Amino acid sequence: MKYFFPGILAAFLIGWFGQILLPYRALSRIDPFVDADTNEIYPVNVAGIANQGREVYIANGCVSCHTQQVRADYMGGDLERNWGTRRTVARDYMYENPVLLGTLRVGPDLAGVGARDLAGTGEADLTTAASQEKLARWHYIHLYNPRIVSPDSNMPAYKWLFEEREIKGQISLNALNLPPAFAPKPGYEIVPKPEAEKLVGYLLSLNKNHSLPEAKAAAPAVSPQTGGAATK
Amino acid sequence: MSAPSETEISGKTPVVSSARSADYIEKLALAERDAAVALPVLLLFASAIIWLVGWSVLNFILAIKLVTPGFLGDSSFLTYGRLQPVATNIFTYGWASCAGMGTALWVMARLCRVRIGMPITVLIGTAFWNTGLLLGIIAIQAGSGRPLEYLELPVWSHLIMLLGFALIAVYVISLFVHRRPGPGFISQFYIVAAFLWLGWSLLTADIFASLPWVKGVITAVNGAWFAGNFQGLWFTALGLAAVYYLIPKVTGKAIHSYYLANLGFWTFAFLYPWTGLHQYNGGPIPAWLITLSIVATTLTIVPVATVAVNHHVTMVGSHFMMHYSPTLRFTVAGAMCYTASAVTGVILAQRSASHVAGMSFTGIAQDYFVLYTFFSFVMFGAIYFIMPRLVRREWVSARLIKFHFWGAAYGIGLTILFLVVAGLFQSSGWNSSVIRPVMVVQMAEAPLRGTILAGFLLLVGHVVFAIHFVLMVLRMGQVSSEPTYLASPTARYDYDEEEQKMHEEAA
Amino acid sequence: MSEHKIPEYLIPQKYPKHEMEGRMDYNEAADVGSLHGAIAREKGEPAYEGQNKRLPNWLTVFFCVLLFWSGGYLFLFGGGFRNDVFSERDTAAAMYFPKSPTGGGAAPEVEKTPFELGKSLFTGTCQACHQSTGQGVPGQYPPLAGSEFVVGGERRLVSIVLKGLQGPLTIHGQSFNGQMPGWEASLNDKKIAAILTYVRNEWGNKASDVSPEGVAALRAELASRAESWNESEVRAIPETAPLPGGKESGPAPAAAPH
Repeated sequence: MKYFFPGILAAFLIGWFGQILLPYRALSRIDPFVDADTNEIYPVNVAGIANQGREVYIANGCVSCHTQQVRADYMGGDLERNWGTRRTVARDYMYENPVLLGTLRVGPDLAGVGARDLAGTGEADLTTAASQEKLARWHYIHLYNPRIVSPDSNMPAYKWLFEEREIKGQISLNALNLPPAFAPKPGYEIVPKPEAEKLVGYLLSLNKNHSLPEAKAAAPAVSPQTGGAATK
Repeated sequence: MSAPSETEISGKTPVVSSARSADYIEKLALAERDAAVALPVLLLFASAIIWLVGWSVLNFILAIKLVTPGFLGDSSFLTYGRLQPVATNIFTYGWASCAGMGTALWVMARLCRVRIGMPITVLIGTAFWNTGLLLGIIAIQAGSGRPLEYLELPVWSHLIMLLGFALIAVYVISLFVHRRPGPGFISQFYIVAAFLWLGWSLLTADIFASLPWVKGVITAVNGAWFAGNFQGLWFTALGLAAVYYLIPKVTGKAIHSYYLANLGFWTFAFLYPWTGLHQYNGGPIPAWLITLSIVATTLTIVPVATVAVNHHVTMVGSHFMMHYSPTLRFTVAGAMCYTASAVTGVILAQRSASHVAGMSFTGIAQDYFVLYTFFSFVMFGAIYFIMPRLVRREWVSARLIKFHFWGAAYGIGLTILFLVVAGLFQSSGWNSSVIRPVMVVQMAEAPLRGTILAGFLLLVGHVVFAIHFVLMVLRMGQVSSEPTYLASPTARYDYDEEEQKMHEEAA
Repeated sequence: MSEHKIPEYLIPQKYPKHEMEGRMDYNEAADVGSLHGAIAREKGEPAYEGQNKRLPNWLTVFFCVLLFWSGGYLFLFGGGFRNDVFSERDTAAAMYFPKSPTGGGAAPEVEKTPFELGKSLFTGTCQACHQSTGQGVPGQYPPLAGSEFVVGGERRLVSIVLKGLQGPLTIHGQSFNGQMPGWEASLNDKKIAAILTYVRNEWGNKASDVSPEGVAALRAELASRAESWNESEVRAIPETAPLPGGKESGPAPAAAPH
């Protein structure tokens, strides 16, 4: 009996030291990766609109249905689906608090959604202003009602991120270009609220494809005897 | 908290002349201990059942929303992403925790053979717990939730709940500290440890999650560690405490082995805190952490098998009682599901299983397997046992109990079945890159439609249970010297002589 | 009927008898049998009753097997307990047996092609003047896209980058007047080669890759020269002149990898 309280305290503390404190000490010492050739720094601490969009992402519970982690090729089809060019590692998330890894994929992974050509621009370089504009417009429409671009999607519509207002004079530059079946009543237009702009800014900033020494790019599985590569 | 008073009973002479009288006096002492905590336990059970009905409604709505995204879809308050964590939190912090705390309090009051004044602290504690939870839920719906499983409630609401929890925990632990000297019983250890573990885990996890300089995947590790503790060190511990109390109590047998119970407890205590992280199999967490978690999860077979053997051998020869005793039917079904869910948990924790079923509805099904078929069933059993002792009436109707049992059993069975099928479709869909994302969604849709039906069954079962509970609280139960059995105890098939004797003794 | 000693804990101690009168059973009838039916019929409180049966042997054996498996799994797939190892699979054996054919330690960095390296270097080094489109700025910075200096022989191009170019300049009949600094101090051979490989194969340009060795050789050859070039000096270099040690290559496109 005299061992009871010390025992349960020890059980708790050993678990905490081993799983939180030890890894925390190691992981908090990670530095951004500096490319020796280009002096490029990765990851960068995203500020401004993209960071505010994170709050919108959290507030609407996107993490309930979307993960943000790309697994190695032998763990699933993540890389084949081009959700990223390599598995994600701890360094990718070093500035995020809390991280939005997620545990359930009702919808696709979003770790690298900013680098995916969802709008079908067909451009090799999605970082140009024109491509970004096209992608942003696709995301606005998709958030306004996913059924417009993907008829069988079960994603909820996020209409409260948009404003339906009367057209005064010219139609607004950022008004959504909706197909007739989804368009507002004549004389009205749908424009994104600041929350939608933040959220889309955040989504477009998501890109974890920069190469890192601890994360190999897609490569055949090393241990063929486990058969992971074959069952992909 | 005032100094504990000894259990007081009416002034009989200390030495009486018959076994019947000694038994009589002991029973009076039990009655008195029950009465001392009756109000707090009733309040905890009442809150638990209100949350349970609330959860059933939300669960039903969410099942519809998953296949019909337009359903209640225009309000940000009711969007799936916010409602889903709300439902999880209502189920765990509302129903399961309140029922668990009520049962724990009652079991402790009995086993510690002591009465402590001021059960009002528990009433206040329960009020804080429920208020914190309610405010937190409203905050999630207004968009202030956090993104980690079981830590979605805002920190401030967790603090209100922790305050209430501390009041309840202090009361429960005081019972233990001031208990009558004696060897103690395994349920007491599980309960005291569970209360301390949850307090420590919740506080540590919340503080760690609130430190602004803590960034990166360690925040997910923290969340997964807490989720593991929440399921293991809190719910599993409380559930096992109830099973350890109820099986010997209803069957009238002693626990098979003292030694196995202790072995089970200590291996449980040192292994379960390590089991949370395997949900990030393949994720950006250092491999050794995940490997360690897989190993710990696999090793939980040791406590699980030890406990299972202990329960099973105790039950051998008494399984027939499940046929008519509502308590035993729920509790033993729950205890069997503990073993089963632990085995599936070990299987799902393996890396090769993550490849087939990772990040899918299969994981949700596993959560239900643990939190519903094991924990909630045991809690139903405990409530069916405890309520007649608190309100001194028998349950109104065996039919209602049966309705509840089968509604819950079919409801949760179908939920788990459909979620597993949906999860396997989903996982294999994502794994094969030729299937377009929207097709993956569609593949999972048919089984997900099934969960609507299952959710409806659960809702009906829980409403029946809640009505039955309200009737009991209103003291509209039967005045009878016989408990409300599900069937006649004598009309059964596999009588053997020993059981027959036991039964005659009981009658 | 035997005399029973009531357990100590059941003996009333605190309250005098008169306070207890009528309290028992909370003012209900004193018949425990009927009113406390649930309690009266229930079995005794569970307690440890001295049973200390051990684990069945088969379970002990099973647990030992499990422990053995755990140790092995932790050893093979524990990633060497390193915090920078995320894929347990390709590191497990390598961590402990570095010579194994799967390669040791953390995975090597993925090598960028010269084109990719050049592209990212261009962004930081050249883009401010020559623009991401390679079109330059009219009147100031000449275009790189389609420029004869760029897609011609490598010698001209590398010379300009090493030493810089000052004063008026005419490309495609348009005149420019800017100052390009020399880059020999701030860019090594590999980087210059990469940037120029990129420049020679982007925006519709198609020309041979530039080799770091050639850049090094030219750097050595021109080591004594301190000042920048001007247009006439550059045009004095033959249009198709290769780098020292290189094969003569003209504007005719070499195999462009991109």
